[in-house]
Amino acid sequence: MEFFRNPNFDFLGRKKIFVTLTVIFMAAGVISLATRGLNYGIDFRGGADVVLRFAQEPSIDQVRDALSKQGLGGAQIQKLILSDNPGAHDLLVRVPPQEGSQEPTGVESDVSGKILAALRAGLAGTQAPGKVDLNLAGPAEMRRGMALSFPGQEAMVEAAVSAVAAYRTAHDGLISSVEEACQAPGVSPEAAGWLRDNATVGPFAIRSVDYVGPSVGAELKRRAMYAVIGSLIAMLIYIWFRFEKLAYGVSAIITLVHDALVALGAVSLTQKEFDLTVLAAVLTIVGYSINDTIVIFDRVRENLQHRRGGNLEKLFNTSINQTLSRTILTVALVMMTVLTLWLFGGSRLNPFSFTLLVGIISGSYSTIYVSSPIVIWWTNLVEKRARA
Amino acid sequence: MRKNLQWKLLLTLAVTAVCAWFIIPPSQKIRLGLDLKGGIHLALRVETDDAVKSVLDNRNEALVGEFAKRTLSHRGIESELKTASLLIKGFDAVARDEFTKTINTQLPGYAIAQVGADLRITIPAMEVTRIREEAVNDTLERIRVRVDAFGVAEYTVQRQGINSDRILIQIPGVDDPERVKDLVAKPAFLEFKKVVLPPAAAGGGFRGTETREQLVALFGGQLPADVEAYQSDPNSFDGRMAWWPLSLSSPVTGNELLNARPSRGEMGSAEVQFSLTPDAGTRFEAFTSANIGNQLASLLDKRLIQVATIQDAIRENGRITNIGLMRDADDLALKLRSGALPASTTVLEERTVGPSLGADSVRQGVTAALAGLIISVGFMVFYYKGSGINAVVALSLNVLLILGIMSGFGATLTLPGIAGVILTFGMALDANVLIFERIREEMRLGKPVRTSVEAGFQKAFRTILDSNLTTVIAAVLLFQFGTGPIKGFAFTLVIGLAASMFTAIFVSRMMFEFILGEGKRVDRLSI
Repeated sequence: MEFFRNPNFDFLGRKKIFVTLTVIFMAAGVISLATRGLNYGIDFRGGADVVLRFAQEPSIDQVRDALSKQGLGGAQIQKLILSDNPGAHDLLVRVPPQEGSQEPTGVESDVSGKILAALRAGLAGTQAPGKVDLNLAGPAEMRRGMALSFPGQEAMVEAAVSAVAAYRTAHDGLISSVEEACQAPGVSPEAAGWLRDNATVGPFAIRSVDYVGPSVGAELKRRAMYAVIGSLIAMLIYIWFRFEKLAYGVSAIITLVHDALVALGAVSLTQKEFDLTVLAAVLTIVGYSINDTIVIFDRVRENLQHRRGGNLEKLFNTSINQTLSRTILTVALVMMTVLTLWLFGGSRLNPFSFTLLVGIISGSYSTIYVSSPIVIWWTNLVEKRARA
Repeated sequence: MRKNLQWKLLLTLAVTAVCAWFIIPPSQKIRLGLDLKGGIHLALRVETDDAVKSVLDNRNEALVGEFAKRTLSHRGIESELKTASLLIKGFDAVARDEFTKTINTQLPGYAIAQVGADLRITIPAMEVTRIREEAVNDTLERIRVRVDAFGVAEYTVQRQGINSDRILIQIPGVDDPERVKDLVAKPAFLEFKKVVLPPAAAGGGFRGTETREQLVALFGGQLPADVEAYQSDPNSFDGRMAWWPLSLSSPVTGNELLNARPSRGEMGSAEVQFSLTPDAGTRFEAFTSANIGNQLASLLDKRLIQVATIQDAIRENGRITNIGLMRDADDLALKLRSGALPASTTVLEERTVGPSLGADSVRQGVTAALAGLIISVGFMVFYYKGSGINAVVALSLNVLLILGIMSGFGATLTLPGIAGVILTFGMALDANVLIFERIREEMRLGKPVRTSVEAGFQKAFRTILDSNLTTVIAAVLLFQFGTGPIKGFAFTLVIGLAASMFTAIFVSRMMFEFILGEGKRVDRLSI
C-alpha cells in the first residue's frame, strides 16, 4: 500500500500565506501567554494541594468550617468533576503559597499535614478514637496494628492486610463499612474479628497530597528553564556543525521555539494546568519536532550534493515531497497513539496528552512552513550580499 | 548461513534474553514510580543551624560553669548563631589571661578576640562544617531506622547530592502521610526538667497556672534566671493547658536512652517504658533521690507532655504515661529508640499519591498507551505487508529493551517516563518508516532488491543517526539540569533512543538479510 507515488505538491509556492498563518498562530500563543498566562500547577506555583475522595457528596461549608477552625480560612475549596468517573466526589483543597520571602521552617512547614488534621478533626470527629481508619490507613499501618494482636501469625495478618488494601483499591479507594472489609476475600475470621473491634471507616480517602515549598518551586522553575535553554543551545550547535551552515541550526531552533510556543499557547488558551508532566510533553514535542526537521534537512543536504546550484526553494520542495510518505505515515501513527492516550488515558493524563496532540500537529507543520522558509530566506540573503 | 549473520543473531538473542530476564514477571520486576504506585515522597531540609546552636549552648553552659568555678566575673555569655560564636559580655579585663587560659583548655582551637568590653570566642569554620555534616548524617541515619520500622520493602532514604542538607524519603504503598511525617520529620528530643515551685505554692499539689502572667505573679513579678515557663500540650496532657515553671537545665535527655518500648499502664492506658544508660542512670538517681516529693516534667521537642511527682529514687528505668493510643506509644518508643534527630527538619516538598489514584493512572495510562502502540504496529503490517512484520518484531523488541534496561538500572517508571517511552517509540517507528520508504524509493528506481535494501539502510542511517543524536544531546542536558521527573524523562529518552538505533538498524537489517538469504537472486520483496 502507498499513499503517494512520486508526489509533487508545490508546498513552498504558497509559503507566504502559510508563513502569515504561522505568525498569526504564534501571535495568538504569545498574546494568550501574556494576557491569560499559564495556569501553573503546584509544581511551579508552590503551596499545598490536597485532593480527597468522599464517600458521600461533601458539604463545602462544613469543609470550609473545619479548615477555618485551624486557621486555614484562606484555603480554596473546589469540587472536581472527573470525566472518566462522574460518580466520584472529589474535592480539592488548595492552600496558596505564603506571601513574602519568609519560608516556613520546622513544624510550620507541614502545611498539608495541617489541612489533613483540620479535616480529620472537623469531618471525621464522630468516629471512634483510636481505631484504624480503613480509608486512610495504608497497608503498613494496618499490618502494624494487627501484628500487635496476632504475634507469630504474620502470614495470616499479611493476607488480611493485602486483601483489605486490594479491596479498597478495587472500590475507588473507599470502603463504606467495616463489615464490607471483613467480607473481602482473603480476610480470615480472626482478622475480621479484629477489624470489627479495631477499625472504622472515615468519610474520605486521600487521593493525593502535594506540597511544594517556595524554595523548591523556584528551583524547579529555574532548573526547568536552564534545562530547556541548555538543550536548545546544544541542539543548535550540533545541527550547525552537522549541516555546516548556521542557517540550518538557527531555523531548527526557531522551529522548536515555534512548536513550544504553540503548545504552551494552547495550554494557556484552554487554561489547562501547567505542571511537570505538561513540561515533559513540551519537551517530547521538541524532541519529535527536531526529528521531523532533520529528516527533511538531511534530504536537502543529500540533494544538494547531487545538484549543484539550482533553486534552493525547488530543492526544498522536492525534498519535502520525497519524504512526504514518511512524514504522513509517521505523523498518522504517532497521532493515533497520542489520540488514544487523550481519549482513554484518564483525567490525570489529559493535560499531558492534549499538549502532545497539539504539539505533534504543530511539529509536522512547522518543519514545512517554518524551518524550510527560514533556511531559504537566510541562504538567499547571504548569497545576495555575497554577490553585491 | 554466513558467520557474520550467526554472530548478529546470537547477539540479538542474548540482548533479548537479558532484557526478558530483567522484566519477567513484570509485576515484580518493573518498578513503578510513586506517582503510579501510590506512596509518599518527602524532601526534607535538615536545619543544621539547630545543631550549631545546640553546640554553642553546650559550650556556653560549660564555660559559665568553668568561669564560676574559677570565680572569673562577667555579665553573662550570649550565643550568636550567625557568627557561630560566644560573646562573653563585660568580662573582667584584669583577668584576661586567666579567661584566655580557661577558654584554651576548655575549647582548644577556638579563636578568641576582644570586642570592646566583650570577649568573642568563635568556633573554627572547619568545626562548624563538621557539626553541620554530622547533623545531616545523624539525621539521615535515624530517619532510616524509623522508616525501616514501617516494614515496607523498597523504601528510599538518601541524601540529595553531596554536601547538601536535603534528605529525600520515598515510601511506596502510602501510609497515612500525617503519621509518616510525624514519625520521620520530628526530632523526638526528650528532656526531663524539674518543676521549680513558686515560693507561694511550696505546700505541694501545684497544678500550674492558667496564664503566663499568673505564673510570673506567683514568682513576685519576675521569673528567676534559671526558670522557664512552659505551657502544657493539651493533646498529651489530660486535656489541660496550664503554665508550668521549669528549670533551665535537664539532668538527663533522650540522647542517653538505652531502650524504649511501648506498654500498657495499670489503667490500660498506653505508655512508654525506657531505660537509661548506666552513666545517665547514676545521675538520674542522684537527682531523683534529692528531689523526692518534687515534680518532674517531661518534654518532647520542647512540648511539655507530662508532669509527675517523684515518689522514689529512679535509676535506669522510667516511663512516660498517658500517651493516649497504643500506636502513639509505639511511635514514640520507636522515635526514642532511633535517637533524637540532632536538628529540626523542614518539609520542602511532599508528594503523596493515594493507592487508588496511582492504580487509576496505571490502568488508564498504560492501557491507552498500549492500545495506541498496538494500533500503530498493526498499521505497519497493513502498510508494509511482509516487511511490516519485520518492523513489528523490531518495535516490540524496542519496548522490551527499554523496560529491560530500565529495570536493570533499577530505574522506576513514572508518568514522565511513559512520555519518554512514547516519544522513543514514535522515533523508533519513524526509523523503520524512513528505512522502508528509502528501500521503496530505490526499488522504484529499478534497482535490484538486495541493492535497494542495502542502499535504503545506508541512506536512512545518516538521517536516523542525526535525529537521534540531536535528541540524545538534548536529553543529556535535561538530565544534567533537570529535577526528578524531568530527569526520569531524559533517562528513558536516552535508553529508548539507544534501543531504537539497535532495533531499527541492527536487528531489522539482520532480519532483512535472513529473508533475502545468500547468493541467490531475489526478485520480489514484500514491502
